[in-house]
Amino acid sequence: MADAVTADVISRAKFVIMATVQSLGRSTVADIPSDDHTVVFTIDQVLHAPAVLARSAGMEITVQLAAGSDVPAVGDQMTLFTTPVAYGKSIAVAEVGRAAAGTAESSTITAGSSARRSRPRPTLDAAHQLEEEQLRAHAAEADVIVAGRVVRLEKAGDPPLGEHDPDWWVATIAVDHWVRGAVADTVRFVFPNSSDVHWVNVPKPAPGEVGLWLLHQAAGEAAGLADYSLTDTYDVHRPHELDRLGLGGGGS
Amino acid sequence: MTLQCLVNIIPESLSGEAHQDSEPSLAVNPADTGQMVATALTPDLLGGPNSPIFVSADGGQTWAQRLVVPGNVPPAGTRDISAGFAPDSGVLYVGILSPEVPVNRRQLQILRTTDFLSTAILSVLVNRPGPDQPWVVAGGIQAQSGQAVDRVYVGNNDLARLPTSATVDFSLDADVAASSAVFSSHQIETDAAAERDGPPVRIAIHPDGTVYAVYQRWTKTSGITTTFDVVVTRDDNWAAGANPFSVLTDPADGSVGRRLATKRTAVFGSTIGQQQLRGDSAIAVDPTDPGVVWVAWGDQPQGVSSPWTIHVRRSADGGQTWSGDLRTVAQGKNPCLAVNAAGHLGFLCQALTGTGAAERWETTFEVTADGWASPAQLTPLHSALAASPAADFNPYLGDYAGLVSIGNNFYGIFSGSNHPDKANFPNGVTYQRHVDWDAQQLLDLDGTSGVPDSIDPFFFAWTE
Repeated sequence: MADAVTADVISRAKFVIMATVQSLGRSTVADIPSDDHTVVFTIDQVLHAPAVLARSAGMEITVQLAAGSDVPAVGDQMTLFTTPVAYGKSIAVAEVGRAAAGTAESSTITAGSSARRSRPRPTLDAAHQLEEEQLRAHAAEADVIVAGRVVRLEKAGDPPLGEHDPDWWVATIAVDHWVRGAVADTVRFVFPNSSDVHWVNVPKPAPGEVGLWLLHQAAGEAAGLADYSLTDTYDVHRPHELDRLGLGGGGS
Repeated sequence: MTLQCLVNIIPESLSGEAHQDSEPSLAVNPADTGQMVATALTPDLLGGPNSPIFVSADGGQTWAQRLVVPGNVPPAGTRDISAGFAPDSGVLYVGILSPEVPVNRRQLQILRTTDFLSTAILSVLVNRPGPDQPWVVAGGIQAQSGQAVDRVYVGNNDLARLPTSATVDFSLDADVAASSAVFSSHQIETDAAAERDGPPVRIAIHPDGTVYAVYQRWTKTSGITTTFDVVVTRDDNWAAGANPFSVLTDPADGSVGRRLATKRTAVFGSTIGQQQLRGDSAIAVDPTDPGVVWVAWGDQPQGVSSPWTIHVRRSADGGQTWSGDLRTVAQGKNPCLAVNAAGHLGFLCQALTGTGAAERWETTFEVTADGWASPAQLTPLHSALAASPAADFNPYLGDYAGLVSIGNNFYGIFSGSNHPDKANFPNGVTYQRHVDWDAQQLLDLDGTSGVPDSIDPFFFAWTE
């Protein structure tokens, strides 16, 4: 069996399945051409996928094998690491790696309540570890990290007259616990309050909200509104997640 | 004169999705109306590196997704996106705001493919900062050699050029050009006294080379309350001359651009039925007469406390003089216009009806042969409670929808609630995704697990 499952493969693979070869040289997705590296598999188990494909076991799927790779025989079972190409009545994906069946371990992750329509999804343990490492790397880039409560919210900047204007607001946090950065008892930061599709993924602080805040030196038009900014999906966490983020030290 | 089909275009293999697929656009290949492409604020839900277009090779009966648009950042995928087929070459052009730049920047990309079903990533023809809401319209001519030459126009609101931000990027040979050099970027707004222009800049092309553009000139803002004029410009030779889009002048001051409505009021970003109001605009030219042109827009005619209202007006002299309102729709949204080969106008519009918890978004398609002098033929397409599903982001339904006419047929697309209640579709509907109509429940790929309602794009074809 091919093929070391590297961190790069884990990172690129969006859909990881244990699957059995059904037929060679054909496609299950209309108007997708097939060649000698086009293989139809039946999904035996979904190991890593967003909720949208978490229940795709039993589906036939078209896989374009990596160029130059070995072509398996009908009936072979393996773990496939893939990235999507097309969705129709069935799915077409491209192989980014493969391993012997049973190689990869998976957990079922139930997303937090913040994602309103989130549903359980299977996630490779290795992919989950990679995501956690990326989260710690993101935290390492923050200029200020504090735990505290939102005590003030105020509108700032110009009225939003463009479809994708950020609608800047400034939040003031009463600091309960500092981790990084030189801050006083309170810290102010600017954030985009717009619910436009461009900005909706950035957390919107709510009055009284308690959190662990990862702040960054404000830049561009935001710089004139506060010293720090909150502009990333992963800039707010629960206060007890210090260890998860690889953060220690600090004090009250 | 009937509705041929109404289809929820989410593919069967994405039955488990619950994404807000709002703001659709539609392209139909005039040379082969079986070939269609739709776009929406749809990411690749698997988190791959590219975003989808929706494709159909059977006249809209079935739809799939191709992950061919560079970049994929949820929840929008590509941010703003629209598409158009060139009429002779069948080349597909797509305009996007690239998601591959920081969220506080806007980067227009104009993309191209000669094979709309291909899984190859679209070629990037233009990549420049500044514009918002790219709107793609493609025309074409036959060269003396017999080869098709594509003429592509992308209306946009270039906020890097404030205050004169209404802009058209265009190419007179977009299919043969290998680089971005042949796309020109022209500010159609010429009034430096304007504070800025509104988001929608729309284009209509007649096969004889007449090209119209309509935009909204904001003359005053107070907070988020805007006062604007509706302005039409025209070019009579594909914008090929030294001063494109300068044919029409305003009789009041001789400036370029004819104001067909002035001192209109709108509260930018106010909300009805979970949908923010950020400008509505549409334009269509009669294929049988380049002098007959229709325009629609939205405003609050009695001031900030009055309902958002869609207006439709007509010019029979190339945009120099205009009718009064021929049609208005209170609480309307996303007007779309197209004229068929018989000279009949198609009008697609969504409207909020009812009050309180009973508010509904109603989507209706109308066809009129005489500018509503007699009653138009009405085709109700969709009706659903406006409060459900809850919005995940703005825009809820979209800042635009889509309507195309080829021959005597109309093809349209809009977004709305996918709640599977047959009463919501008075003329019928087809879902590709799994659904239990009796239980009024969307179903996952396993055929048993429930999936929450969400906003989906719906395609329709209407034949005269």
